[in-house]
Amino acid sequence: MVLGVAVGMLACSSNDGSLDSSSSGEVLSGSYARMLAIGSKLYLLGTNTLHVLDITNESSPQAISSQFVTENIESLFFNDKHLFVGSQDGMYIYSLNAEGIPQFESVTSYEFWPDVLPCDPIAANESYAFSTLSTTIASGSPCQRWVQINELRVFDISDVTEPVNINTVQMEEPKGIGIDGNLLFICENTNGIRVFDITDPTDLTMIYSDTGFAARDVIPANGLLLVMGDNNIHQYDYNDINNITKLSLYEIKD
Amino acid sequence: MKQRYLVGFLAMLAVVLNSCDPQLTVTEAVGMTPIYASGEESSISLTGVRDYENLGGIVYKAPYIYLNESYRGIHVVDNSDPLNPVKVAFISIPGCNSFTLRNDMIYAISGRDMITLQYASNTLAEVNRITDYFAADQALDQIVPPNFNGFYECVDPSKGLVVGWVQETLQSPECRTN
Repeated sequence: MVLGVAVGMLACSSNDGSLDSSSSGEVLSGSYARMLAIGSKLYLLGTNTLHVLDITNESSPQAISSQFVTENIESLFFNDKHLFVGSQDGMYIYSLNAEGIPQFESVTSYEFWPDVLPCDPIAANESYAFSTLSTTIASGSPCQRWVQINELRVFDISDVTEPVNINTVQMEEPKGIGIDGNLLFICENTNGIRVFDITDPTDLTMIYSDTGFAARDVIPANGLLLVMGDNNIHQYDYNDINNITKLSLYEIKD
Repeated sequence: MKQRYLVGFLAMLAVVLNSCDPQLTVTEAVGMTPIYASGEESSISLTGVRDYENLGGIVYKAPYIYLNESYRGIHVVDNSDPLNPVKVAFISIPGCNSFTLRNDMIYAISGRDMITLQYASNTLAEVNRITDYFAADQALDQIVPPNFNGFYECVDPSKGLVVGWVQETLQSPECRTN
């Protein structure tokens, strides 16, 4: 069994090297990232503010801009064109001007009852943004609310000044989210990972799931999928989307 | 659907019951006590592997996985062989709840400061610090226990950075979340 996986990996590496993404020095972040290095700039979130530092000189960041976004901002995502800030009240989209300074384009409110503010990381490609909204009744959770909202929202962002909610999918308790090509990876908090084909964003097809364990955040890395639980790292090979394979389960607690 | 609202109602009822009689003078209560950074934890340092809890942000820069442990630092996992990852180091950064990487540099929040560390060839050096960059972002200080309702021991900044909270029985607590 283990031998089989190892042979499979070798075959992969020799074909396209897709499990070895070390060549580029590429930095990939989970969906709860609050800090991203993009070009010569460093973008990061305070509690309610989007800060920008210049890192042209990598060892000496220079603060160049700070702007208020909203309260309770949680996540930062970049789709190679726009910055997405996930907050408990909505999805904020910024373009970057020639100096790399974020320019506000839109906020899309999630429009729930007052005070029902779900937790909500975002992933996006050029055309669509995906946001997982979640709440729980479990006390002690940062997402404890009195009404339960657990869903995936899909937005058409071809006009970033006016995103359109084109699909909503009920989920169990969606948390971390990741995107790679036509694949969307969603953590179900206490119930594992789900993989969707998003070729038709109005009709997502689940092509894989692995359930029954804690899954908080996810990083798809060119064929290698990292899933973080509370105490474990789960890894999968998704080079062949018809045959997603679990590679390992690593206990990291001790 | 009905069940969903019933659960919501029960949760709301629990909150109402929980918050009754705010005028009561409390001499003793179960609540949260801040844990201040101490010893090795109170400074930036590269240490051997250690136990891990409270997942924060994650970053992958092949072949390494970097895991933020909220308010304590960053665990480094060598993932050269995805079949057999190995935890190799811990970078202690008190008050760190956010970080990213660029080449050899680690950019991180440490309490109110923005810091830059150079991490290469298994050595760590602080190369830059912007003191009080986040002074206006008070929540980064963990002055209030996160995601918690009730009494807590007030934070004394002179004791250092708060790296976590622990539940304890408090005598005459003066601070309470609202």
